[in-house]
Amino acid sequence: MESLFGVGLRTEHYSYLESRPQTKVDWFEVLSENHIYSKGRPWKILEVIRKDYPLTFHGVSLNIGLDKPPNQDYLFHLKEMIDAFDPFIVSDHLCWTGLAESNIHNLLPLHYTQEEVNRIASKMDRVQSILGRSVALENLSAYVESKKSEMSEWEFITLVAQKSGCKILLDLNNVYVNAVNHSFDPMEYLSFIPKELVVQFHLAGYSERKGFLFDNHSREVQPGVWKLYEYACKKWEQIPALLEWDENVPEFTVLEQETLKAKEIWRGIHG
Amino acid sequence: MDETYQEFSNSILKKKFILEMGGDWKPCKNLSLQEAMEVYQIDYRSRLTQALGFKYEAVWSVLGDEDFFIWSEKFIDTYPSRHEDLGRYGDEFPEFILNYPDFKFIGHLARLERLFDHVFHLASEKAGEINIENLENKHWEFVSTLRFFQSPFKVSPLWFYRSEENKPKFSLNQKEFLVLYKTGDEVGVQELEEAPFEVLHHLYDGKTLSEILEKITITELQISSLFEFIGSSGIVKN
Repeated sequence: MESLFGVGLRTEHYSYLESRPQTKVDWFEVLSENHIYSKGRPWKILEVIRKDYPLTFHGVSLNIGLDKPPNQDYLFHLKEMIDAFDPFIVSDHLCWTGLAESNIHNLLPLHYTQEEVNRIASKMDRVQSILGRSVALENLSAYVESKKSEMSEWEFITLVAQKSGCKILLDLNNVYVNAVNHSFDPMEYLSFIPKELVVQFHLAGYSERKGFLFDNHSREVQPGVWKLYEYACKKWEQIPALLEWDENVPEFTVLEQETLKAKEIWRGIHG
Repeated sequence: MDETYQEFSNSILKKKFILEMGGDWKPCKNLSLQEAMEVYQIDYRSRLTQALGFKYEAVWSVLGDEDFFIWSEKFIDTYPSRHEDLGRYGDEFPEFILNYPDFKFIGHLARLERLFDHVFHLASEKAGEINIENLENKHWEFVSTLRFFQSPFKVSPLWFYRSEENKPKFSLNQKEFLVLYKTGDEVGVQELEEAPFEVLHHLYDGKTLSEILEKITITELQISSLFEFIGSSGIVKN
């Protein structure tokens, strides 16, 4: 069991981590956009952490769903950061985040159609050529779904990955949230995704709003998501799992405790 | 791009539900489509408000929550976010405030905060040794992080004491001349008098001291203090 359990790097923990403490986590996931355009403290903190830990880069602005060529300036800066820190996974989301003239800063749902599979796979192929490496796409949570869709979310992400050669970052919290909100069986989702496509898991805590689940990463991972993780550990044996926490971010020790829970589940299955 | 995405985007940006989009999107659970879209609308506006609050912390502390949120709302209505880096949102905020005559000093405070944020994210540069020979005819090269700020109002105390509840008393109604620069990981902020500020600015622009002194009146004490600052701050490249 090597380097399987990571946490998302958040500004709230910069001061603590700058002192290079010994932690119980194996690696850190970096939100690319928080560091990509800065050569100040956000860049320096990566230099400090990289001395002791492997990194992964996770973006929110690739906007792979936008019907335009990839943003060259963004990819140039991302590549510069990749070359500097050598992350073992680079990922973003299977979604659109705004049109050419605006950025919504949110992960917005697509029409799950063959036409979109072809369009996105072609763009993804271009992105991976520019970056010179494989990139993973994450499934998102959504509060609306397209009536134009011709297939399920899990069929869609699988087809995009197979056609483009990209990988899948499987967010188990998002699978659970969507399963409840859009009434499908999350196990059907996980059973369908081909084993060889998944390179990373995300774990996080949703919150309960009136009438639906809200994916805001504001608390501990909830029991339904741990159950999915248990299933996922059986199907995918050596996949790194990452804990995300974005609202009401607690002390670093709380994040460590959550990763220990993941570690216990993994150990319970694989010894 | 499929026009249903355009309708989706408009529905978020325009702060009101766009009825035309109803045909192509289905809400989750028991939500109406309008309620589901409000989840995205609220999230968009709160992210941008948070970005403004982070960058313009002193403006927020001067205006207080209620007024700051009113100004943020007005600004977000006028300027949608365009860049993928949320940290760049709000670069037009100072000029937006400066358009309102009653809030001029806040606009200048916002200019200072924007400049500080800009310098903060620059790569720091190693300072060079200062050679004082032939000082009067020397062409100086400064570190690339050096920036100049002048304002008709003395706003820097509002920025320095932005986190203090009881701010010290000072007069806003005087001109202010600052230089900002980066040494190591820290951003340095130095106040100068008008004449030394002008001299430094001209040195930065490539003029020699003897050329500058033909046009600017400055005392020997001011010159000596200026060069003491230049020597000790690490702003000279070579």
